Amino acid sequence: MHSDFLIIGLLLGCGLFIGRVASYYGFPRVAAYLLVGIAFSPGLLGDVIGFHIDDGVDRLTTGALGIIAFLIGGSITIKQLQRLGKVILGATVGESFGAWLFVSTTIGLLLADRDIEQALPVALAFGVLAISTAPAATLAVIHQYRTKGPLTNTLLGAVALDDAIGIMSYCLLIAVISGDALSTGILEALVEIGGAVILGAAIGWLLTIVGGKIGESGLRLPLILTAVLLTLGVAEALNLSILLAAMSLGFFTHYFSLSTANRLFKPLLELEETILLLFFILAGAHFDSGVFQQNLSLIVGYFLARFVGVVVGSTTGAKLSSAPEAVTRWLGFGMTPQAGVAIGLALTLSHQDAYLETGEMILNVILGTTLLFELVGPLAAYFALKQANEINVKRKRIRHESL
Amino acid sequence: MKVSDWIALHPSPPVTVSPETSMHELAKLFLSYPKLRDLYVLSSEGIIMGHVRHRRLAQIMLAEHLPIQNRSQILERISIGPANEIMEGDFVAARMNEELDNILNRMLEYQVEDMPVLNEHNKFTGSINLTDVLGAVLEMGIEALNEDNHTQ
Repeated sequence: MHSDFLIIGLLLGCGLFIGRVASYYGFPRVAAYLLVGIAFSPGLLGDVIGFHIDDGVDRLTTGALGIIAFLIGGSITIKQLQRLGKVILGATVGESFGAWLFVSTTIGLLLADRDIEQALPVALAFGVLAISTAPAATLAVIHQYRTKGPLTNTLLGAVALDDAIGIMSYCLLIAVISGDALSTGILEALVEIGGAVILGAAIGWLLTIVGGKIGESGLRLPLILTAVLLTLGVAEALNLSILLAAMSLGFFTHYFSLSTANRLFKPLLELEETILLLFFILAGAHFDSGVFQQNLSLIVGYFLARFVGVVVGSTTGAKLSSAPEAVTRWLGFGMTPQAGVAIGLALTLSHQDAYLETGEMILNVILGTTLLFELVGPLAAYFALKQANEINVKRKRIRHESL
Repeated sequence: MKVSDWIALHPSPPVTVSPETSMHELAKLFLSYPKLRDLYVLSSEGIIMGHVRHRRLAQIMLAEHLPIQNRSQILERISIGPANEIMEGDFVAARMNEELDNILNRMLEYQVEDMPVLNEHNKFTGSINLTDVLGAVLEMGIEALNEDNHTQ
């Protein structure tokens, strides 16, 4: 008996069940989801039940990441950015740049024996993937210990914003790498990125007008899905950056719809956890023990370089923004968790022409480091908040109630 | 009973605020009038721009107690905006010459507890509180409201 629906249902069901069990015993749900995916990878149970990732599943992943990009774009407004202040913005930019620089350099050095035409795109890709963090993991620690204070606020702002920088950097990288030569590559990248922003803004404007005329709440989900899929499709047809177009769509939909934005975004927000669950399981299913073992040095190198890069970058960014001492000293430790967006970006990276040969290796490295960061990240965040004296209740066991 | 008659008998508490009203001022208003569940944001011309629900305000102010939050909620928590940023733009309203029966249906259907009443120029002229209506029904019975309706 073989049915694709049965397999997908089985994967999601196992993920949900094992995730709940892990959460109950104080382990991160994300790690459980990845382990379920790994259990169903081709070398293990995947062959037994006949589960193989084909092009259809990969297209689904790209569409799902488009929805996540739309939600990230729609979560930020210009007025909020203005109110957040220079400390949060400085720390976020510092963390992103630090993670990118340290990881790109480290991976570049580790791949020094390879051809530069292959090593450079891989090093830059790892650098870009290192930028995003996992807001839910950090939030779980903050909630668990009821922390309050300047470090808590800066941490919340930075983890909510850096995924946007991560996606923008990813789009920029793909746009530049896809070009034939550096000069034409940069020109093409500008067209690809500028066009994507304009496309997102135009469809966002239309979505706001149509959304304002639709009173029935049941029609909002199909309407928004239509807008996201149309944006992805048009961007793809015009060779524009599809993720940036989706993020621009989210941002401008919120910008134009203002007070009705919450109702417009609500139906898709409820899909976010399902999409992230899908990412983790599919990423886990890409696990290849051979590739994994061959690249242990990259896993360790990425993990250490990202940890150091995030800490150094956040500290520098916070210092330059004149942040309080508790923030400059400890912020970086709170920003180490990494999960959903990095996994989603790594999944789509493997379909890019420039990464057809190396995408699987990159995904397997990110898989390994995500497991490490999910275990170490919450502990590092707890350590940072404790050192900053922002923990308000007696220590309790960390329960990963969220992704 | 006409809406205009109800308004005359049951003057509404101050349910309107300016677009720049801060979160704390909104909270104070809700606490001063415990029956209030909706505050309406008025433009300088007296036109309703949107409304802030009691529940929405509580969700933002008590966000630290939520174990799971999306990015919008996280940013709202640390970057709290004034009334015109947290209000919902969609609202339902009543007209002065409408029958109260029709308004009650609308209030229940759209889960509105303080419904604004607009005059012929679309300007805010008062509000109908669901608790007040329930009190009146308990006091004299729904039939009385209907009879009143038929006699007018």
